[in-house]
Amino acid sequence: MAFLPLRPEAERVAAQVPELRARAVKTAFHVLHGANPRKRAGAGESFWQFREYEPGDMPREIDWRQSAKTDRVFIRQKEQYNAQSCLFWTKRNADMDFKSDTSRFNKKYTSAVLALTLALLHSHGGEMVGFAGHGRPGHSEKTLKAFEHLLTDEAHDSLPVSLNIPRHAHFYAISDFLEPVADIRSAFKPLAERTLNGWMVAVLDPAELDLPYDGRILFENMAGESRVMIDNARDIRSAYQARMRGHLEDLRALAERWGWRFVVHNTAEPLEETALKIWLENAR
Amino acid sequence: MIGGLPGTLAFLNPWALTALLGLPVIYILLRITPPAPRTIAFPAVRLLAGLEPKEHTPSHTPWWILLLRLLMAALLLLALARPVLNPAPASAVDGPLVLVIDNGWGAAQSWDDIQDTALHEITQAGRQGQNITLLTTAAQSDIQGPQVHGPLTMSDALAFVRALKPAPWESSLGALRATLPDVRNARVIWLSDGLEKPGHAALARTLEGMGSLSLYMPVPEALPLSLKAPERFRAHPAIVLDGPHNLSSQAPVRVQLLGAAGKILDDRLVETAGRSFPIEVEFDLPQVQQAHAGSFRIAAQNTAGARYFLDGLGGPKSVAIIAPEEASQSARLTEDSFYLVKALEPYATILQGELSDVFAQNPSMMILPDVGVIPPDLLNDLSTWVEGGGVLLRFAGPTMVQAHGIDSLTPVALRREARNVKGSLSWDRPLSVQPIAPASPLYGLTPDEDLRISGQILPEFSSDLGDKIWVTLEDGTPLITADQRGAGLVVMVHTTASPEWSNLPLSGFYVQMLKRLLQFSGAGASTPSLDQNGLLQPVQVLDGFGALQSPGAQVLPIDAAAFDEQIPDAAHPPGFYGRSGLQKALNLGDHLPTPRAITASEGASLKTYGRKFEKDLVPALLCAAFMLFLLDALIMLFLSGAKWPRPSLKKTSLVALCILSLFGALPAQAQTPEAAQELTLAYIRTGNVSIDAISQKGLEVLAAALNMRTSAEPKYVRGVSPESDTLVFYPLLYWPISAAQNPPSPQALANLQAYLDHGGTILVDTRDGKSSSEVLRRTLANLNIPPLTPLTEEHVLNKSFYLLKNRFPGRYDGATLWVEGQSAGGRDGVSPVILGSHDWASGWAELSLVTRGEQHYLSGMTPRHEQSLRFGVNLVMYALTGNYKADQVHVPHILERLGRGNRGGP
Repeated sequence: MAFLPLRPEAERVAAQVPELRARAVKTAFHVLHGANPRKRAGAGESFWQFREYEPGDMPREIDWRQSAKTDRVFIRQKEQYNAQSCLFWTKRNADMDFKSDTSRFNKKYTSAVLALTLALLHSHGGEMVGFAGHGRPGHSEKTLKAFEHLLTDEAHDSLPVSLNIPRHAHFYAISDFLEPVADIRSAFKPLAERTLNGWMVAVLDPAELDLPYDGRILFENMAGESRVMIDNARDIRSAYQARMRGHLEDLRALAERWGWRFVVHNTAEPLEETALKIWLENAR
Repeated sequence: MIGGLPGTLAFLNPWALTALLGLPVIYILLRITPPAPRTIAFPAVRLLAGLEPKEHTPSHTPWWILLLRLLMAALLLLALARPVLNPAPASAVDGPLVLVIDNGWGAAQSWDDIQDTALHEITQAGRQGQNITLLTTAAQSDIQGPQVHGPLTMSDALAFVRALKPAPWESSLGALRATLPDVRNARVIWLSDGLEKPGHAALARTLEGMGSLSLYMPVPEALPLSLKAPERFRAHPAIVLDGPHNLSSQAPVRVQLLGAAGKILDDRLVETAGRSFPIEVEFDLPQVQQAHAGSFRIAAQNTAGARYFLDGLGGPKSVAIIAPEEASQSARLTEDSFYLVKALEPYATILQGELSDVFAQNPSMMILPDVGVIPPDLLNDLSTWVEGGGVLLRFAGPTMVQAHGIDSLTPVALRREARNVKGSLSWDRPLSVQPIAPASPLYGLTPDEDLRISGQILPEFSSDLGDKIWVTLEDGTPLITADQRGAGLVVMVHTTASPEWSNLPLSGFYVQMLKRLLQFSGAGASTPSLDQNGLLQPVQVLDGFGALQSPGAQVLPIDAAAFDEQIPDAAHPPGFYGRSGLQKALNLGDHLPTPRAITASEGASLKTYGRKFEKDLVPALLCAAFMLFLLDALIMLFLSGAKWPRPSLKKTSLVALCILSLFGALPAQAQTPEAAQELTLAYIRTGNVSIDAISQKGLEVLAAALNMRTSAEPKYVRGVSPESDTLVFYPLLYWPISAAQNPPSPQALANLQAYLDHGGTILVDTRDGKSSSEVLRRTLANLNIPPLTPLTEEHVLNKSFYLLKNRFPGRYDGATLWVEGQSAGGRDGVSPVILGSHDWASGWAELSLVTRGEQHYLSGMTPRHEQSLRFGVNLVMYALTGNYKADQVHVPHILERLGRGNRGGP
């Protein structure tokens, strides 16, 4: 499927969440503005504390008004903040090209829009965004452009390989997570050791969730490598659904053990809800 | 065979129907065979692995596919049972089939029936393995071809009948009877056209002797009719409709009169009910149309006999006037020939001269005004000519009276003195003319009331005098008499052709009478004795269905002397025969025996055509089964989820482009799209680089000036080569002529001429400031250009946009500008060629176009340049708008008149 333009869709999703913005502004003003207070003095905008002048301090840091109140000379210290990095990884292989009749977009497009939406929200807040394993994160328009390109690129890996992310960075893994749980665990464990701010977003097609097929069907995966012959698809539907539910539960448990969060997005449902859910969860 | 009722269905292999009992088996088989699995791409295959459905029964084939396949099988089985619609009953007599097929002229009318019945009978006999003998009643196109064919196999006989065509001549039953094969106990079937031909009874008796004879004939309405010539001269085109004399009460028949080109001039619906054949049909048409009459036709009859052609189809008529030698110019008004020529000129070609001279020219009509003595040898020639179909018109006069003995070529014997009722010694008054009697061929013409005859030659009395008089005077003496001689006519006017004895030549009746007589004349009377070999070659002949065709090799010429006796046959089909200047029509209807319909005879059973024949349903069933099979295959493709090539926009447009380019639409459009869509100024490339560059630059400057100043907005400037480029897109061509240039090639000349002829305008520039030029003469010598005159101040070119005072400077000033003299008719007044020597392109090219931001302007402008550009603007406007501005020539006068009106008003 040819890709629709990504950015407009992501902007649309981000803009169509006025509620999201309103709530975010109300609940986490500083988060929206990208400030992550370090609770110590440093280079920042907001006031942190007054401290007596010591030799070596810059004279222009002296707060003359405060100093005039007493005999001592004070300098005004501001709170230290540093922009946080926010890194994304999306699964981009042939599996993600799947689209059933009930959904509007395929999984790859949906996950790309979701990633870009989150990236835009983060970058509006002054954080630095980037695709994990592809250069340094940033918040310039150029970085966003490169990011957008990476999202639509084709990649054959179904799981991240030897990624390195900054400590305590935000990390979003967007995939269908159809691989065995053991493989997923071993692939993401190194990342989980570096940050607690992790998200696993499972983007799944309704057909993958429900198996709405009927009759004699030969199922083959998107690359055409493995196939399974089912004589009566209707008959195994409930068994499949149970299996799928179990798989997702395993993933949720895995995420919670690492302190990460896990969410399932159904491609037939609006993207805004999932984006809002993630964003509010972040702001908490 | 079972089920033999006509109009019903029967099966030739009924036992095959038992296989229908097997349909339930097919049903069960189809039920349990699983359909092919669908293939679906699915990312979560891993989760599906190892899932086993509890129920292992296959999914069912949808009921409608089952129905489709059962229907298909049933159709195939039905086809095996060989069903036929309208099965024919088994023939009573088993024996060889002798099929007599009427293929004479009349058979064309019911040919479809004859052919269908023949095919059907042959198929029947063939199915039973009988010998088939075919007999045709008319000889085939190959003259000596046999009329007996057989015994034949079924397929040969079928092929023969399919190829058989009716002949445009009469059947020859006698010849057929002489060659009949010796067959006994046969089924003899005679497919006739319904008319009894000579030898019918004898042939029928012989055929009855060969076995059981059944004779088919068409319904009375479909019997063939024929046309033949009326027995007497008629004033109007007339034809005789002939049909079976022993039959009455038929449907009305429509007879059409056709012009020479086949256009229907008139038609008559002839009621035949209660009348007996022959029926004469007369068409009283206006004079003008009568001259165009070419042939007659019976509508809804397609036989050769239903067409009747008049001699001399559309040929112009010629009239020879025999004038005395010493025709003096001084006394023209007293001469006979003067009045005759004046009267006949509009209607015929006039030959004038000595009697001996005009024979060679083969006139349709000869006029002898007041000729007394004719030398005996010429008299002989003349009478032969008349008898061959010529019309001889004689006028009386003083010379005739003085002649020693009047020759025999007069309708009536004449007295040797003139009757003069006007002389000073006479007490009679001049005589008027009686209205023309209905029996006269001149009936319908009205002699003028003031017509007065004062001199006349009276006829000797004879018993048949009354029949020969066409027009009489008030005292009962003849004015015009006529007599038929052979195929021709001798007409005598008993007074002079000049006003000497009457005022007849001054009346309208004179012209009317001559025109009517002219119609009686055929197209060039045949003069067999004067023809070198006397043969008339076939020009166009009729086929069996009454359509004119060019004659084949088997068609022979006819001796002109024996033409009227020639009976149409295989070597001489009806049609046109002739030489140059003479055409005679051979019509079938004139040579047919009295037509009679076939009546029942004792030994033969009489049947009519038009029964329904049995129809084999096998092909239809097989076709339906195949369609169902295709449908089934398509459905299977869908069900198995085959991936259809998704028509993406790119691919579709690519395919569309390929298809378009196949049709050649693209290349044609690619050549000259801009020129066709936008106004383009063009110059003719000379091949000299510097001249071409100047032309390009000059025209670009002119285009810029036009864009700035006028609503004509030329977009491009093109150099064209008249040899290879399409010129039609350019309203104006600038043609600089250089001394070094080769004259244009023939192809270029042809293209330029076509461009000029279709409304193009060329500005020819000799670029030397002189008025005459050798190069110019050489270059334009082979172009067809109207005479050119110097441009006047009133010319539209002087006022088509700017008002120019007859000054058109280019690089040179003051030379003459030449345009077409008369305002060019059909070109909206635009002269095709404008010729000058001012070297305009150089003048325009001295300016340069400057663009500053959105602003364009021309730099280097002087008054001369301005004037030069103004000429260019006027020229383009002139080429585009034509004489539109010519109206303004009158503007000063209109303004003046308006002003006067205002001053005079309140």
